[in-house]
Amino acid sequence: MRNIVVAVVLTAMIVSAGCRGGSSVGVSGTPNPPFEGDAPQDAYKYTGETGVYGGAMVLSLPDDIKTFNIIRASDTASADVLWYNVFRCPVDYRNGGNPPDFDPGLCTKWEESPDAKVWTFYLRRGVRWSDGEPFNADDFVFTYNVILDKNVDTAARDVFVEGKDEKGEAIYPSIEKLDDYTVRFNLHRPNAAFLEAVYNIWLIPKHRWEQPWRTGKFGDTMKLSDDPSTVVGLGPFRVKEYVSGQRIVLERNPYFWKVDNRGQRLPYLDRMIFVIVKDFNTIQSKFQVGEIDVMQRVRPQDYALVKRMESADVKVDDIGISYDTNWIAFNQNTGSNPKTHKPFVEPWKLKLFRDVKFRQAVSYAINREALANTVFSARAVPLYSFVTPGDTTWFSDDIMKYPYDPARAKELFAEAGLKDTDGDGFLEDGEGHTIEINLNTNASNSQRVETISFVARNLQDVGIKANAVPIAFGVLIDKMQSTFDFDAFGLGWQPNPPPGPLGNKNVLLSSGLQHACFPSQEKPSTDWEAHIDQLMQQIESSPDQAERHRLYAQVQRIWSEYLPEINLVAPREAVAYKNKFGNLRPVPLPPRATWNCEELYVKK
Amino acid sequence: MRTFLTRRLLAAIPLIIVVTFLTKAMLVASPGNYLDTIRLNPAISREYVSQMEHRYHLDSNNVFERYWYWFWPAVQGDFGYSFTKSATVGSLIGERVLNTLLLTGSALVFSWLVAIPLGMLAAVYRNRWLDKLIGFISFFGLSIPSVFFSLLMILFAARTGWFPAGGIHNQVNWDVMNGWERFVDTLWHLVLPMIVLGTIGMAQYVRQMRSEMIETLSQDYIRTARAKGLSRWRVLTRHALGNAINPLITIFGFSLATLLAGALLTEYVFGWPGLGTLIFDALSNKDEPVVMASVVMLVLMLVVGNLIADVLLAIIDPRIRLE
Repeated sequence: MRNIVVAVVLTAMIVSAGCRGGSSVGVSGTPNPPFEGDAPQDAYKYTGETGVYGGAMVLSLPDDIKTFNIIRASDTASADVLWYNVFRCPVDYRNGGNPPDFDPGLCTKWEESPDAKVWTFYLRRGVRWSDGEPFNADDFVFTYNVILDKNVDTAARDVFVEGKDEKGEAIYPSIEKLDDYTVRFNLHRPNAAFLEAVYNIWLIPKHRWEQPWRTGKFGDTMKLSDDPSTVVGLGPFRVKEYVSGQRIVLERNPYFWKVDNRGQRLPYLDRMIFVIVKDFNTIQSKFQVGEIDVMQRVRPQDYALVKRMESADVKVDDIGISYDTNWIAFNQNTGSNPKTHKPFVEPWKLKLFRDVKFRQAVSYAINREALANTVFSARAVPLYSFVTPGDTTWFSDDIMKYPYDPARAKELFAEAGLKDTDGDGFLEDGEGHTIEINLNTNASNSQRVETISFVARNLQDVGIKANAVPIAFGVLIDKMQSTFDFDAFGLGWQPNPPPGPLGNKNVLLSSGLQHACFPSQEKPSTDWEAHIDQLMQQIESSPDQAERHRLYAQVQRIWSEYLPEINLVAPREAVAYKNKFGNLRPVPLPPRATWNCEELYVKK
Repeated sequence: MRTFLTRRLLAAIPLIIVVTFLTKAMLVASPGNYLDTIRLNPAISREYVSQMEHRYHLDSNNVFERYWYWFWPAVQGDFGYSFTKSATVGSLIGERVLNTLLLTGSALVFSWLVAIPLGMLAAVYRNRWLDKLIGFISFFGLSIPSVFFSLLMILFAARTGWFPAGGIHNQVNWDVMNGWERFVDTLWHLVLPMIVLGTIGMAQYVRQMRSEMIETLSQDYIRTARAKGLSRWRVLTRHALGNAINPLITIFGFSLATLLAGALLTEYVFGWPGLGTLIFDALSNKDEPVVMASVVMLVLMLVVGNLIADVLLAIIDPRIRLE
């Protein structure tokens, strides 16, 4: 009897705890934690919409972060939390700017020499790190040297490679400190896009990390198990708390260096809270009950459902076409397995895959509109080259397009020498081989699996015996980069800011590791690949922005004509959010909703 | 007893070695490694990837070599750093163990507290409507997939708002809550996942309990006890239950063994930050140090769980003698 009473009381307590309701963080109007010290003498003047202090924004994070060490972080979760919020580069990039472009940020200005080989950056005076120590050119030089150190495992080093010297060692731009607030880079080759490279220098403090770095212990710094107050950066927020697998709490950086036109210092928000939720359905449920404020990615298949949640308090916005691509690529690798000396691709198949008419035929055979309407729930647009229409800065419409035309596909197959000689409904080549192709993709991504199944059916309709074969992710990467044991596979790219030629180098160049059809070539195996290599080089060395756009448009055109990747669709993106934030301007480029986190505020 | 315990624990050592070796062999043999997602990033070069491969000894395909790189430091207590997260394996596992134990422990208690009375009732009222109802509940628990059940619960929580939609506690306000509020908040978050795991777990115990009870109740000594005038209730709880529960003790030991391993899918859907999600992520990403350390821990739990089951049985059942 007593046990039953205890059970009932316990249950009542638990239920009553729930009835207290969810969180409601009020807008106080006063910053908490308050700012420290004075605004720097050169404070960045923010001239946009002013806000009020207080409040928090709760976001979902689909994966746990892996480290606080921004130089070594290479996963999206760590990037989502640390980039822009906790750390800054010498220059900023305004994803949602009009147009999206570089912004002085921590510099008052930069200067580019006429030959694009000397770059000078003038830093703001009086800026402090999130621990109160002063920031100056020494930190800039220090961070660059850490990045260039071979013993530090960072992905940022590669963007600075300018070539190799006689010994085969990589050459990098040299850096010099002209005075406490001026830094100069001397490049060996002209690079008009050097700002894109500088946008990888996430600044870290010399006064904290020089010692560990010099003693070879840089890999041990800024670990997840360290005290969050050691994670010192120049971003508008600093790490307050990290609980593994649950949340990361960022609080205001009291030393942040931006001021609005009312003299108020930024950021307005007191806190940013990232809640780790792995399952998409759970994210939606949490958003529905109000535990999460912003859902930064609404999947195409969920859009219709989430849109019904719209009300006075909840808004669901279509934010435009994504920068993400979806494509399939055929194996055009002419090499052989070094151990068995067998060619990676059977000679008759290789001949076919390397025939541009064949690839163009395949492109005509794919019904992109239907693909967008079914697999992407009508939330995608056809895509014909590697830059999507969502990239308003670089997209060129002057590309070869392939509206769905199975008749034209069959014509081109015939021109490539394929015929159905035995009447089984499938085409054969001149030697009688039935054209059978296995289309791979990673089985864990259901959208990709549906995409290649759709493409396989399209190809079967025009006489190609195509099989959709999803495989484990590890196996796919192995095939893509080591064994080259595949016919074709489907994948996609998700670019990071800033968009542009530099970020796509590894995909476009014939020597690139992600040049999916035939990676890491010693020299280009076709004229068009040689042409692209040459254009990319010209883009780097041309100081004229208009010229670079023109050349990049040419690359897009060649890509669409010769189809190293057959691009399929670009999805449309949507963001769902509580209608209580000001200055919330999500864009399809990561970090979507928080690229201007210091400007966000909670409306009274 | 002491020699028995020592012998059993010593026997665990070769078991751990064999299992970890096999695990390592499979990790080496299966294609790809944790660097695959990094490889796919267009901004990252081949040099960086080879540098990482060398640092983590992933460039060798010799199982013995790779095993040794893990074994030697592990024997000295250093289980290394996780590949994917910049934290020691020990700290990663340590944080999560408590969370998982909380969940599976409470689910275990729930399932037993529910299963034993239900099993008894089903046996006593066998073939009547109560038995059929209890049978239905246990088959429900046996057949419902845990992912589906968890999702149903989350939907229920989202619709009614009576319970939170996943998670272990209120992430936004945790730092401003006092000890009592935190305790109650955690309990509130615990209810739904505990029900999911508990319902699925109790199903087999109910059936076991029922059949054991039926067999025990048909024994002569029960009839004797009733004939001597003992009340029905007393006969059931004092005499029948004690004997019927024997096989279940062994099962209890096994449940101890799976305490840490069993909640994976439920944890995943509820976003419960436990060991299951850690191991699952480590396996998917081929984070070898974490996988190896988890395997060691799970084998140990299995050995200890079985050991406890055997010892308990010996204590409870005087007919059994341990050698």
